[in-house]
Amino acid sequence: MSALIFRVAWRNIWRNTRRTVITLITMVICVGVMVWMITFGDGVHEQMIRSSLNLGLGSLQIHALGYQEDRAPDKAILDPAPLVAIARAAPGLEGVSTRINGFGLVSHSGVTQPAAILGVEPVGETTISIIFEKMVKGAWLPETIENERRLPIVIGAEMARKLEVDIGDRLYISMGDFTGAPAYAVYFVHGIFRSGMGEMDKSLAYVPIDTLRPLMAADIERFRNAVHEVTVLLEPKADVNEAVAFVKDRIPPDQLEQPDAENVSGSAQVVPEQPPAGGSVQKLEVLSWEEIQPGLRTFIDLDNWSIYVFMLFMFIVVAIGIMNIFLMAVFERIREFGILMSLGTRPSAIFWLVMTESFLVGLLGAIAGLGAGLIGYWINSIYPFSYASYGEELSDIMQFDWSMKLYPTLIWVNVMKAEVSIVAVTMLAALWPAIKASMLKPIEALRHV
Amino acid sequence: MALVELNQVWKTYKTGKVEYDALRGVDFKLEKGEFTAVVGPSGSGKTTMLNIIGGLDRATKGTVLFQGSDITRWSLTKLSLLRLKNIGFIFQSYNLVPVLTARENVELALILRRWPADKARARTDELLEAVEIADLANKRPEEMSGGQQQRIAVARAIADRPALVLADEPTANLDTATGNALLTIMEKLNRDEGVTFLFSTHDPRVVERARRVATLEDGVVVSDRIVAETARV
Repeated sequence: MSALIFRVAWRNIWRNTRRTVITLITMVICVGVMVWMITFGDGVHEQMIRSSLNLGLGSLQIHALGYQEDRAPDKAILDPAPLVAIARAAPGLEGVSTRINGFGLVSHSGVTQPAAILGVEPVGETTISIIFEKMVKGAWLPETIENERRLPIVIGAEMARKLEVDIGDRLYISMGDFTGAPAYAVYFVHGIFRSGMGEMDKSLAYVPIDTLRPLMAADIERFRNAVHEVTVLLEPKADVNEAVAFVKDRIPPDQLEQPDAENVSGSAQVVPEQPPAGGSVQKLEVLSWEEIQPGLRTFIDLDNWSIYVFMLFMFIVVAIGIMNIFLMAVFERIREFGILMSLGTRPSAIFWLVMTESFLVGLLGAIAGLGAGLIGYWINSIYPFSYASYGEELSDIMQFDWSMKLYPTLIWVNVMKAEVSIVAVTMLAALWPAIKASMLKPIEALRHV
Repeated sequence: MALVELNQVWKTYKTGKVEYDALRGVDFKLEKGEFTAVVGPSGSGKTTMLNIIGGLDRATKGTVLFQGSDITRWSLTKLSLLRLKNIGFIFQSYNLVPVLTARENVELALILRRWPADKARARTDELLEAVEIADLANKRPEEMSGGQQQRIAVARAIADRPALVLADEPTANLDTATGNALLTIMEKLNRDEGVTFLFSTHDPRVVERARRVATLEDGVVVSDRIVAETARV
């Protein structure tokens, strides 16, 4: 399309300035709202993911093969040290730590609560979780145990309330060890946390891993160094799949089960049996957070779909307006099209002239709408939304800390998809008017009044 | 080979159930280099005849040959190309593109014919000088008089040196002086560059200058006389 034809198209869209301006205002509102919604949605999703990762999920975890499926206590990593070394070299690393997961009961003065008891590295855990920042009373676990007779435990605020305990109070723990046999211990409340997630505050307790392992191992030699998880937290922008691949590449192949045809995930697959003690290679699985907690990804995808549906309605509104405008514009210029045809302009060129005009309108609307959307994003960045008043009720459903403020995030790829879409929709809406124009008979067009 | 040949051409218009024959068995030949006027009362079929020759309209019956090719049933696209390469139009109501300047209106005709931009500009300047409108090159049609617009239309019509220029009542809306000036320009083009002109007209000034005059009445050629020797190319 020559520069002159482009010039004709540009001037044509301004022939009826008022009509074009009204159209553009409509597009600016629609596109602006879409862009802001996309940034807000992306921001909420990013915070949801980050919150979940930072509250203990981690970016990826290494388990004994099959542990993710049934959480059997005896499916423990028997020699975690080499895996920790591999994980420390992962690209985009923020922290690595190991955990033992126990399940049992916590009691105080006749009141008993079921609990998940996590044995964690007091210092290592702070590199993969922000739970230590959520203390409302007392302190996080100490690096060293000063008094072997007063082992420290950190519990959630809701658990503390139900057990009616405070800092320094004694808690009786009964749980299954690595073999499933009962094990008992006494801990003293060292700290109380409030994560903002009801379930965590109600049922999670942290103890130093070195105090839990002897209890869980029950003098069984092979469990001497055992852990259930090697958890890795990556930087926010790091590529989790790249890190998973990095770790898997460095684990000896005979320790990773090859995926069979029935499995969807690319990670090592679950087999029901652990290798017998005494020499066989232990099978492992390396899972990204999406594989560990697929519900979170599903929720985000569903939320994105709701945004797409909203965008579709916006597109329909814009498309109807554009089609109407271009039908009017074509009708008003029938005679002019006849002139162009009399000069030898082919029907296809008439078609592309109208399509060029629609492209220009779409482009102007997209750019102006982008500006409006970015203003909305900027304002929202300064004045974030807060769901604090809904607090823990929502956090139980949504599984992340809703007490925090919700900031938008600008992901250009997502915004540009909407921008390109609106230009495409504009051109699509002008398709019928353009076809009508190209089908005009020259003599009838020249006679049109 | 004649430039244009009409053989027993009929054109019938239908308005509801009523049929009207605008042309009734017209036989007409136009040779290269002619400066010919088609005259007749209103409704005689002059404009219809020019439109059919120019491919803007189709004959209902008969054949239309252009440079020996039968264009009677050509597609819209082929007819567009015919006009693009061979025919220039001058209309009674000028029919300039309103959003373009005088220069751009003439350039458009050349750009459509794929002239390089620099050559198109140079040719446009030359034409604007020839029609004595160079000082208004950057004005839009709404800023010009009828006579000035028609000069632009003439320049546009002859921009690519077409084989044939069809002029439908080109002087109808012009004052005497302007009309005469334009006719002089067109005569010069016919004489110097061999551009063939076919006019549809009521204007005696045009008839005076034509070297051949065909008369249409009720869609039939009732007379066809050579008034002066036609300059053959």
